[in-house]
Amino acid sequence: MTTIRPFTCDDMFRFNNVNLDPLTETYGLSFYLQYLAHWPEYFQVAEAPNGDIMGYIMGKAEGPGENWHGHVTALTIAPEYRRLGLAATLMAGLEEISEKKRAYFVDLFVRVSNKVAVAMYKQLGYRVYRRVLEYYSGDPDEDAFDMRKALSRDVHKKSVIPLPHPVRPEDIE
Amino acid sequence: MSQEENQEMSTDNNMAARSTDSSVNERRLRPIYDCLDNGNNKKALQEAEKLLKKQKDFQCAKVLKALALIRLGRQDESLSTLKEVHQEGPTDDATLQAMTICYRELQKPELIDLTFLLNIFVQLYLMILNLQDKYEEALKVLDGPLGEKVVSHLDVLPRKRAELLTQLGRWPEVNSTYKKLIMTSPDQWSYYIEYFNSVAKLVDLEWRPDEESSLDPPVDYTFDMAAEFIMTLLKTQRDHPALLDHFRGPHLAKLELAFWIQRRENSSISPLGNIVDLLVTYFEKFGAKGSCFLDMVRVVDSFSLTEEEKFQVLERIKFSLSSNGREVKLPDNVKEMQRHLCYVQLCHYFGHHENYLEEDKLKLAVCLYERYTHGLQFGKELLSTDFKPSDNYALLAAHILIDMWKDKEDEKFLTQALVMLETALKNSPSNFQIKLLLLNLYNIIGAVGASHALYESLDIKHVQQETLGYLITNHLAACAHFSTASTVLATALRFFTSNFKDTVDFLISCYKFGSFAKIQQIVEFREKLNNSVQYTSVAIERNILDLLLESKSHQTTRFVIGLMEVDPEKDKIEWDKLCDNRDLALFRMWNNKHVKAMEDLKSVSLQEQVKWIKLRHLIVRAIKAAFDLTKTQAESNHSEISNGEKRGVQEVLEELLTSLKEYLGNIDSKILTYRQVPVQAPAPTRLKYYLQGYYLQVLVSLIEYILYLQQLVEGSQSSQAKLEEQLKNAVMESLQGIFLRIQLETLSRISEKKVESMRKTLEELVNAVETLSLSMVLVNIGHTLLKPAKLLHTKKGKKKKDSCLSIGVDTFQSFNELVAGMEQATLSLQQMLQQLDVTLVGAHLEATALNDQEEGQEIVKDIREKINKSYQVSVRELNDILYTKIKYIQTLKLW
Repeated sequence: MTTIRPFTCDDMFRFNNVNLDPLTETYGLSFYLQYLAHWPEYFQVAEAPNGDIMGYIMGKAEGPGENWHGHVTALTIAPEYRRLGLAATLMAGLEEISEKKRAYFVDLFVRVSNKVAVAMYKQLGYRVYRRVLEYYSGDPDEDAFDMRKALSRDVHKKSVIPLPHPVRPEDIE
Repeated sequence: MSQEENQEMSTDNNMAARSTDSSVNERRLRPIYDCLDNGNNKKALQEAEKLLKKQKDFQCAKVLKALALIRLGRQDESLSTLKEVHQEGPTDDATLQAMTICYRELQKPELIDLTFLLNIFVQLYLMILNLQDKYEEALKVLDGPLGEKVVSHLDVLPRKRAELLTQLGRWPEVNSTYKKLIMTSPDQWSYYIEYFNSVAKLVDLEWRPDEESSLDPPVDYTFDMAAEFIMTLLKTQRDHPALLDHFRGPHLAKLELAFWIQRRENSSISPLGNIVDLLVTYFEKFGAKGSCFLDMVRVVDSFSLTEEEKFQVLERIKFSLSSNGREVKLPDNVKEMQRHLCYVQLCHYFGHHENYLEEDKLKLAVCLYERYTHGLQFGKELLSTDFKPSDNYALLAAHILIDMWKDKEDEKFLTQALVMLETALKNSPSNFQIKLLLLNLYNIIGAVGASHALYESLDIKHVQQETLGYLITNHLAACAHFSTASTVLATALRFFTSNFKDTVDFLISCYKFGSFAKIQQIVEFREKLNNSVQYTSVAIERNILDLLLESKSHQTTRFVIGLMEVDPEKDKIEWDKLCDNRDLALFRMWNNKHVKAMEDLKSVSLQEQVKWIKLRHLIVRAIKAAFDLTKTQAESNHSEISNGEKRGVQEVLEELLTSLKEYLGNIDSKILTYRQVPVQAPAPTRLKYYLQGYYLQVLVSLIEYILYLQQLVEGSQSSQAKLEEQLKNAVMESLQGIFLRIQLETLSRISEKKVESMRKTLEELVNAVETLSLSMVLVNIGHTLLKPAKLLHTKKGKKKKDSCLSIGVDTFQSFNELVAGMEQATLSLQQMLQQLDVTLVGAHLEATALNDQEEGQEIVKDIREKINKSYQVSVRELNDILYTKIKYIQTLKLW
């Protein structure tokens, strides 16, 4: 089982178990601090009974008008603690906060190659809204799916109607 | 939920700040804010309009435009803009805050968005009450009308209430509140712990409900009631498997509760059954989960299980794995494999194999490795970024071999472990546990080129410099990979020095967005980084490394020392405030004894590290102080005022000398050091060999010599041939001591062909080369002190009475002998190094029976090459330094 609690600064001293995985980026201090200062409720960590950090979710709320939405910046679970439903729990929390903030939808970016994650998000009710070409830099660059789930404020589910064509990263508004 | 969740399920790309990113928006707003702050309202209006042309829906920009309009007296225009934004129903905090200011300035406070303000206000109010320990009042606030204003999500409000009730010791309410929270979040571990704690308190108080007691859910005031509650939860879970089946919560809670009862009642019989049954049941349900082993050992650690109980647990788990209760066959699917893997991890944890004979241990390792290879088929579909499910078999096998290597000091076991780990890493290139173990092994044998490559592949950066940087920073220079060390230390220092700047902006943001609770956290975090042991070590080692690499002539030495940010007079490091944030919990270890040993070694290794860097810091300060002697000498030629200061420097150096000598006094007594078992523990520092090998003696003798020269120069003493001879001989004898040690003990060890002793060999060579280098800096200082006197002598200027003239020709002669001796020493060391064939050391690494396939041979060859290459780099870099130092010392003779 797990304790879900707000991420604290000191968790950065202990999150190696999660962050050493190659797909999890370790950002500069300022990146984490920005999220802690601005959207502390959106930054939650899952802790195991033995004190291990099992994973965490980082997110924010942004966007003008009907584009006001919750965004998942990073969601990651340490290898040993997968297949326990943690990601779903953390996502549910982020959606709850976004509902409270009267957001229209929640969105996230995921590597198109990451079939397991894409499937999981679909199971949680997310749909591919659009494909973003060469969103992830690397060798080679990789496309992202921009996946969305409408919240209750978006009564007619306008926010999740898929775009017919892929977009370039610079065109994401 | 799918079978295999991928680690990172969502992430923004590395350039996280896309155009939508609020940090970008914040940056764009910055000029408007600045203009408003400076009272330049016209410019603010222009900036806002410019921004709105690009982003017409930018709410916050609109509001800032409105604010500029208000301040320019154009209130009507401003009101219409504000009305527009108001109708859009803004929700982001920056916009709301700006609107609040507008309404205040328009003197229309009734329009201020009360929700946002009240939320912030209540937050602050609660924080203040908490700080004053006024929990009663805080609770009243939460339960009153203001409480409704707190934006609650993820149980924040009920959690806060429960915390306050706990502070107040209102246990019946605490109990009922957490019970309710558990019912809605049955996987939240912290709730169970608080709940059990409240039950324990109520039992102690012999609390009983009175008739009016109307708490809902009702209070559980005995452990039997708690047990019943947990059993009800489990039943609910059984009835709704689709919903809750993967939650370990109630199951682990059952184990935990059994422990609480055992601890209180001193018996292993509880209403929940005996502990062996409970553990086996847990295994049967969750054995195929990666976390099962970790969950179980945490419980096992809390209970004091008897040997008999441990045996029973293992036997019964084994029985459930095999149909006939004997050998467990190879698995047909990944779940079966994971259950077996959990079992062998438990065996290892209980030390099952510890009393095996050597051959049986080997058999076990081979068997585990076979299971590893067999299990590879279950990971074929996975991406290269995933761990392979059977990786832990290989790690366990390697752990057994590493223990054997440490026990028997036979490097064939080490070779076998390296081969297994390198093979497993090839198959599972992102498994960082394999990388970390290999990295430690390569460090131990001094093959830091190989460990640095692994360090790089782990992509350790930013805050990880603080928690994991020690894995490499303490080893590179110690094993003579100086140029890599220089780069790595520079990167680390950049992180630490930018910390202060990075954090201050966010403190301001916290105020801006009302995240008051984070402010203290950020401040404390910043302090921890500022007082970090790692930061301190890196900064000091960097100074010494610079002297080693850059000091090649009188000029470059002056330059390097001039750049050193060290105060010789005052020790500015707050040693008692140093923080240790090394992440030692990261290593996955299975042997219970090793896990416990790591806990002790964390503080033991820290003590040694601090002792070592204190010594290094003294050396750096002494060199700087000695250097300052020459500085004031030059200055005193211009004015006489500096006389006082000069004496100051001399006193400082004398003091530092005394402190350095204290280290020498401790050589024979127990030198702080420890055995690095398990191999995951931080490596001992260089302190032991450094003190044993006369290195510090050379420096101490030279400093004494310099202090004597200083006295001659300032005329407080005249040349004393006998004393001079003694001082010079002290230096030469210590140098001789180093030589004999290197020749007789260190280099002869090469012929033993042991990779582990190569680490010591390299350290000793580094100590020798470093000592020669620092000595030359000191000799250079001596040279600078004597040179004016020597010049006067040469000019035969015997007319003027000058203190310098009390220095006799013998003094110059003696100094030159010292220089010549040092040159000779450096040349001899270089000759020794040139004759050294380090490839001999790794040559004995051979593949053995464990890895009969050709692939095994291939891997051994790779490993051997890697190790040899690293040793060759070490020797080459040592040679390179000696080469420049020989040239340097040749310039230091007095002519």
